Amino acid sequence: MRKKLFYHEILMFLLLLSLLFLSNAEAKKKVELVGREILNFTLPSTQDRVITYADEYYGKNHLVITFFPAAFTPV
Amino acid sequence: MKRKSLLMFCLFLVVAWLSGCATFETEKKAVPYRLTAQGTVIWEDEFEFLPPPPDWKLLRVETGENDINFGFTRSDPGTFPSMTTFAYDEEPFGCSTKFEDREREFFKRFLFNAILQFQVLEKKKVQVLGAEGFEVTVEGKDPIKKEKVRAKVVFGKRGERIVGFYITQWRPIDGTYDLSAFEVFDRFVKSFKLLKKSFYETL
Amino acid sequence: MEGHQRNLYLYERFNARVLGVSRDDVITLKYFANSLDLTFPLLSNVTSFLGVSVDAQVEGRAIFSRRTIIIDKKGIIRYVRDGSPEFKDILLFLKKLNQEGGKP
Repeated sequence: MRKKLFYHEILMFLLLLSLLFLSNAEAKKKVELVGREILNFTLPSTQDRVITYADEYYGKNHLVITFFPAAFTPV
Repeated sequence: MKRKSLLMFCLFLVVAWLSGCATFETEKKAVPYRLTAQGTVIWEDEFEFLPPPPDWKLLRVETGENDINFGFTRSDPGTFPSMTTFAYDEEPFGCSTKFEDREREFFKRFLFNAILQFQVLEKKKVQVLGAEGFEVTVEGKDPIKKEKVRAKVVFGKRGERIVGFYITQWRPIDGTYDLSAFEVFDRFVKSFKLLKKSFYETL
Repeated sequence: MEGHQRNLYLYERFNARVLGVSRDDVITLKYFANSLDLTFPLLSNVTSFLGVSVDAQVEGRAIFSRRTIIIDKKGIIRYVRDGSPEFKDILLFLKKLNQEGGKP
């Protein structure tokens, strides 16, 4: 019975550690994005035209892109 | 004994790891204003204004876009929803730097959730923050909930951006407005001074 | 998004442009843009490939999470923040980027 409790506690501890590692992994992922090249995308826009990154912004402007879940929700 | 030591060691590791992430708040938040000898309030060393009488309570929003910076509220005599609130907002609804366009954008969202039928009572140019501003007075009615509101919005300029002052006074649909509250608001707006440049003006 | 619209004149000053991207269709986004009087484009990324490329697409969900990235003129991602955009932070970063001349 005692042994069972002991192993249970070790398991909980390992679970907690793995959760902490995961959150750390997310932070590392964000840092890894910085320095990467953006995909050359072409997408339809609200201005009745498709927008291609290479044609409109590459070599000309810095670009801020906000990804948001859905229209008519707070961004 | 061995098991206990191992447990303590594991707990110590967890606490050591977490201590890098979280801290306990030991400092008390400072009050964001101080009173001057002349009876004005200096707010966060950024604004100065005449405060309303003591029966008005301070309203303050800590964070969030599309929220007021600070304001004052008062419960009025009478049945629900009798109350008056006025506020200063660095970023009123809308985006334009032109008063007329900003007015149109603002009223698309102002009191949106209240589902009111608005009627413009007055629109005029005014002097605010030492320059030209724009004032709109409206009344909104909700015949379903049997409520009404009288509101005044004053747009002014801070640098290139538009800031706003607004007052709303709610009443039951057959209630009477107390226009003395609007005089308190007018005094607040007239006395309002900007003590330093905004973040955007320093860019 | 209103915050971006209000700051457009400052983005212009720092030689920057802004886009919003979601998985909505273009018609829905047009109504959304009109409701907020936006003059900058919103892009429809129904198939989510762009969001996936910058880890804004959470596995198992049909929508993007909130994430703002800044790309310099050479196409390099220089800034990543989760949650609602921190506009003052973005402006300070763009000012710095503009002063650098876009050097990584």
